[in-house]
Amino acid sequence: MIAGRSGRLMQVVLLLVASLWVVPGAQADGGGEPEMIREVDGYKIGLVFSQEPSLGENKVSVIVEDHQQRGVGAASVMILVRLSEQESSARAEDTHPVEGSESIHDTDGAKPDDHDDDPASEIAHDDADASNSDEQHASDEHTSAETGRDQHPPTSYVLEAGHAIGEFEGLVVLETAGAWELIVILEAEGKRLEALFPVHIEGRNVRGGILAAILGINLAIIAAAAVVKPRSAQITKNERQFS
Amino acid sequence: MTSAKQLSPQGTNLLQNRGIKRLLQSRWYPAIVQWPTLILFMLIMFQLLLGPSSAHDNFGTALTWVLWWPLIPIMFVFLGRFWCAICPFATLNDLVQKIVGNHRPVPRFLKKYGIWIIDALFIFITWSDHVWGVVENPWGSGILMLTLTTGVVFSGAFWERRTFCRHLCFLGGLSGNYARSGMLAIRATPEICADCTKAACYKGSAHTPGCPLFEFPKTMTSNANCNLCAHCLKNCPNDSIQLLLRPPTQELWFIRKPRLEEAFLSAVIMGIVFVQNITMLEVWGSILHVLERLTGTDSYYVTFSSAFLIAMAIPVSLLLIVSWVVARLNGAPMLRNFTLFGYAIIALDIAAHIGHNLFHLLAEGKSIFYTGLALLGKQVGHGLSPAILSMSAIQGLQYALIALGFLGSSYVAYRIARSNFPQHTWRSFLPYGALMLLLALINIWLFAMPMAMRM
Repeated sequence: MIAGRSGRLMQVVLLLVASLWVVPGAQADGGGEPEMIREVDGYKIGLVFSQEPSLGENKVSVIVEDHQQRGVGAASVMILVRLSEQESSARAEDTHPVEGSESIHDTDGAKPDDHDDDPASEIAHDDADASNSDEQHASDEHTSAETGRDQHPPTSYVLEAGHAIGEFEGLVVLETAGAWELIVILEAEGKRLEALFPVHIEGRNVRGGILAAILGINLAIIAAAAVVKPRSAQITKNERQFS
Repeated sequence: MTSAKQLSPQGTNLLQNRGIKRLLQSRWYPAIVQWPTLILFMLIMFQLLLGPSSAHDNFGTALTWVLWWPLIPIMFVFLGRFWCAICPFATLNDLVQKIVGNHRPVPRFLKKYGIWIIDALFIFITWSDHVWGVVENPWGSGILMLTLTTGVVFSGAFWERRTFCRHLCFLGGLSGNYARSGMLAIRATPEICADCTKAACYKGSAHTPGCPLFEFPKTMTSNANCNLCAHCLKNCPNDSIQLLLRPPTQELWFIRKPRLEEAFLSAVIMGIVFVQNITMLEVWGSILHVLERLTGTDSYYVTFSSAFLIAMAIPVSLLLIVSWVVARLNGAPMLRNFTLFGYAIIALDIAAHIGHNLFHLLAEGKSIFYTGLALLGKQVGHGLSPAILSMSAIQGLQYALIALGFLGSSYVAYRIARSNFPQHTWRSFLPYGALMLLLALINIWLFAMPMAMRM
């Protein structure tokens, strides 16, 4: 009786352990570096993604500190988002036969409900949208020199002051998988500073694939062990488990 | 050279206290700690793989790298390898083994080269953390855990007992080295065991399995592979087992079977602590620029690997040089000196390791609270300092630890010299004493510099 209960308990625990892989495997996506710091002209500029950078909207914070590690509150902060040069050249090559046939740029395609229900995020999103027209001119300047970025022209987003001094928050949209560049443009104390942060967005299934592969390997090991398990290895008094 | 007195158990037997003895003999020990640890581990895994992608906001990262990792070397000093008795990977090993275990003998190559594999894994994991940012990336930490899980599942499915913990776990290797300095040790009473032919402590009995780490208390002289699971205590029909409270580092005074790979690991750990500290310093950027110029590339793989190799080579080379000098003075071969006195570095290793981790625990400790509340939907801590103590207070503690470590290592070197070279005790000891002082000063210099935070 006790052995039966113990066996069932073990099965439940193993199922729970297995669910460690299955659940993330079903849900995870995206990829990249969530938190980065650059030092420009004595200022530390940090870019933090609230979640792993992923396709669509991403909530970001920019943290600015001066050379004495004090937060710089009196600043205007903008993020310019564009495809990396390598990515855009690669796409230009890939799409050469149909070049120019599709060059739609639509940041409104991002749906706040997909990723973040926080009302504050929506406000930030609205602000970012509202600022798009103001900043489009700056974006166009960057675009003009980048012939390979026709399909996804650079877009700029203005960030709002956050909870702490020197912290600025907002949303940015990363439209496709691949290598992106986020340029934080900061104006503070009469200076204009720029810091470039490369961000790589993985396809939706990369992480799920990795987890599924690990789960598969583990299940295969367990199955193989069960198949080749010799009778002599059945649990004996002296080889009871250590639990 | 080793006398019978040195081999007999020394210290206060805590099992004379009935409460402690009853606790360790209980069927609930160590399960009562083991199962909650496994549940917490599952929560951590969910957070690492599904939680916030920023280490700053991830509860799993905070619990793993800000709380557990700093506490673990402290635990080794006070409780030896007790962590290994309650480690979730070990519990998983046991579960898999219970269901599909083949219980095959440990392969000979693992017995022979296991510690070198552990050395290599430890170096590789530390290297990969820096190059791929495992600690700073919850997903990376999660994948590291899953990779270890796969190794554990394989080991539990095919090999007997806790082969992974004994022969492959990188943390097991580290803890084995540190546990030698531990204040708790399980030993058998030689006079009682002399007539015993049952060996239930090793083989197990109807109610309790044998030693999971393949130790035989009758002949055990080291704590490196004892996890204080108390299976031997539960199995022994002769009441031979003792739980000894002993002075820290005592075991290092008389290493009966010194091994080159263990001495090498103790020197390498010092190098790893160096590199962990250096990469957190504000001068790290300048060091990288110098390395970029020297290597002719700005590839971080190349520059960091160069720094890593140099940092590890420093203590190993210093130990080799001093061993060569001492070989001229005491007449013993250089490698014998290296192997014997390499163990003396362990005390300083622990002190430097705890000192480094203390920074994370005390300068970033509140992040555990902040990220824990965030998990419950309460956003606090944005813009607030995660520090528990001021930097100057942390530095004071770090210096004190290094001073203790220096005293411990120097005393161990002295005792090794005295027990192995009674005719040349001071000649053998003094160069190693100078080496310990140099290593201590390097650590103090590193701790004196401003560091960057992880959370």
